[in-house]
Amino acid sequence: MGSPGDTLSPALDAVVSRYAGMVRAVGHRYRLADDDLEELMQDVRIRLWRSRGSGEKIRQSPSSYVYRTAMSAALDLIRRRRARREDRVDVDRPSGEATFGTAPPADVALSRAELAATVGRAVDSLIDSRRPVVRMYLTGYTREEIARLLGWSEAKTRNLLYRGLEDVRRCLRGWNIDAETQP
Amino acid sequence: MIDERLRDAYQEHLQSPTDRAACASPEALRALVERVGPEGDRLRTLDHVMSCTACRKEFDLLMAVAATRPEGRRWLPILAAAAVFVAVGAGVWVAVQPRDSGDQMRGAADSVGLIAPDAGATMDSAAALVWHAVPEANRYTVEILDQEGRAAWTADTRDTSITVPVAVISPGEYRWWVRGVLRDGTQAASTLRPFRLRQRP
Repeated sequence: MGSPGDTLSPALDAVVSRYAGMVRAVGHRYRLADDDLEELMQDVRIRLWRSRGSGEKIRQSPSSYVYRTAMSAALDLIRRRRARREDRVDVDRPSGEATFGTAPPADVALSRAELAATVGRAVDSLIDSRRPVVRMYLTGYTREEIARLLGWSEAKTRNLLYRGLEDVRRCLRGWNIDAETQP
Repeated sequence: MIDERLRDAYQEHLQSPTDRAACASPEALRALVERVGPEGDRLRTLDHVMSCTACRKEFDLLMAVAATRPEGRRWLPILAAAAVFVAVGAGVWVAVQPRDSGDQMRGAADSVGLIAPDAGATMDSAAALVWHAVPEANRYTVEILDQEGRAAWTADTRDTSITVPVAVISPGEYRWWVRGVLRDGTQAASTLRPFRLRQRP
């Protein structure tokens, strides 16, 4: 068997590029970093090359096979990173690039930290059926994404979410916290 | 908007763990995004993932991949659940039928009923896979998947049984399933059934 750079390359490139395009199309929705995608696609490329053998086989790979290969590669990527205890820190700007005049005053930062901790406690106190839904929503996912992930109807999702959010607000009010007026 | 303020505050509250021992396993993350397994387990995994920035990044990666899942496969868990439901219903129906009726339970019209080997069976030199015929099926595709879900062996046949060339598959734990392609182009699928391939002497 040759290397991925030989005659298999056009077939591999076609399959991997098509698949990468599909992942990229939805990747932004899930905040998928470009280097994660590149690493994943490189692994998919190697796995297809090893398992399919010929350019024709690669070209004819069913989408379900490519999907399973990619899912398997993604799981291995996660395992490798965990094994290396690699946990990349995302920063808003490159290290060493200072920005002046944008940091909030210390008292405002403290209030925000206190509010964050209090909201966290309020969410922690929710009942089991509502808590994961509220966490997912507050993390930034839409109601539709929650319903799709859990296989729930829109009505069930909305009901659990709104009841959960109301519980959080009630909890905060009970602690004399009004998220509207906090800095 | 209060939802926005709550979101800002909650996201500020999230932290990356220093010790990942309590984190959801990669397999649990996969079950969550592929909607496989008991809902209670998936909700527990989701509860952790949405309070752990490290797990959430991994979840987002798997979600991006899961979004490319072919439609047929995306419905597989539902088809599998439906197949189990139909099989149980058929089992009850068969149980209440007179014993001398001579009827045999057939695979349901929208699924492929697996016959042999039994779930969890150990095979060595002779590995024959057998399933019920599906009316209107033109051919069947048989797949043996390894623990990672990769196809270790695939074959097409018009028959309802096939002999696996075990010599080309490494010993280990596998699952097999059958897809029937019907005359109208639609497909019927079986559930995944586990088996073990023993080390050959």
